Amino acid sequence: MARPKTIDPIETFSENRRSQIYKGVLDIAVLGLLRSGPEYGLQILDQLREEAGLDVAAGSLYPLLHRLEGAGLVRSAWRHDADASHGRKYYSLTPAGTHDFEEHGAAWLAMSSQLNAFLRRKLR
Amino acid sequence: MSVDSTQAWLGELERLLADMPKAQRIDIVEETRAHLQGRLAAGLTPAQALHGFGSATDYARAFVDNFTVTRALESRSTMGMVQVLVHTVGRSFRSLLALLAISACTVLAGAVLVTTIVQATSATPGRIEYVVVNVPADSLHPAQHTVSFGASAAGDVLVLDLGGWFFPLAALAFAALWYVGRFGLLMAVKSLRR
Repeated sequence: MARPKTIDPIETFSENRRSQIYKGVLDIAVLGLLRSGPEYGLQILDQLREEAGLDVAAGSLYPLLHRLEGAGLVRSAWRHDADASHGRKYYSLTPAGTHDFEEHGAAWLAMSSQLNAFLRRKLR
Repeated sequence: MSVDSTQAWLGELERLLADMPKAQRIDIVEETRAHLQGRLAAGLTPAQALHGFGSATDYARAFVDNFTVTRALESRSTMGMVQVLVHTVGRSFRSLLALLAISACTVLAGAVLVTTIVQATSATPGRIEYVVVNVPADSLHPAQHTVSFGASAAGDVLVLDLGGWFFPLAALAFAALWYVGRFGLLMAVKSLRR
């Protein structure tokens, strides 16, 4: 008889916390990335990992890009690059997206610097 | 897992997105296909390329949920918003709470409506009689100790005579319940837009 799968509540809690932190910061990171110019999904995914240290699953990124586009923060256009056999959907910031990034990016920096200082004091 | 498996996965994705408009459905599938082709061209196996997407069901759900929530919010249709909550009640505690609260508002609004109809056809509109039947505590089994409300000649009668004020007050109560229910519904559906 197969043993029932046990769920570690601490592990589950930690995973949920990590997921919530990602959710809160991912859209700001994507908008920040697009500030440098239009990018397609694979590029965004790889750069988030390399530059921001955010190991995002493709299954989370594309629905987010879709929501950002629906909210009018980014726009998209299909392009055919010479180095690819298939089309690529490029995303770029709209003026509203630029404004949203500046506003929420600044808010994030203010909040995180205060929180970082607090955590450093507590971790000593 | 072969390249055919990515085709099968994409076919399944397209089927699961059937509730969405065709243009959006094709756009999502083609973008996912482009991503997979890019990963396969970089040397990943089909299984590795598909790994980041999870199951086609979960991936499609993220788009479909967003589409249904956005459509309901844009249409402002009460039934559309209720349908979104019913659709997500198994996955969202917030949806469950919202549905319970909206059900309570609906029942109360229904009670106000029925009372208004009864009062409109009554010989003495606006006069509500609450009949309280008092039973000596030591004469009956504890389970039979009851307090009932209704039009009866027996027991003490508490009369609430609102006269001509009844109908405006009933309309106000109905409007307040409708507003609270709609507002709660709107907030609950907005909170689902992640």
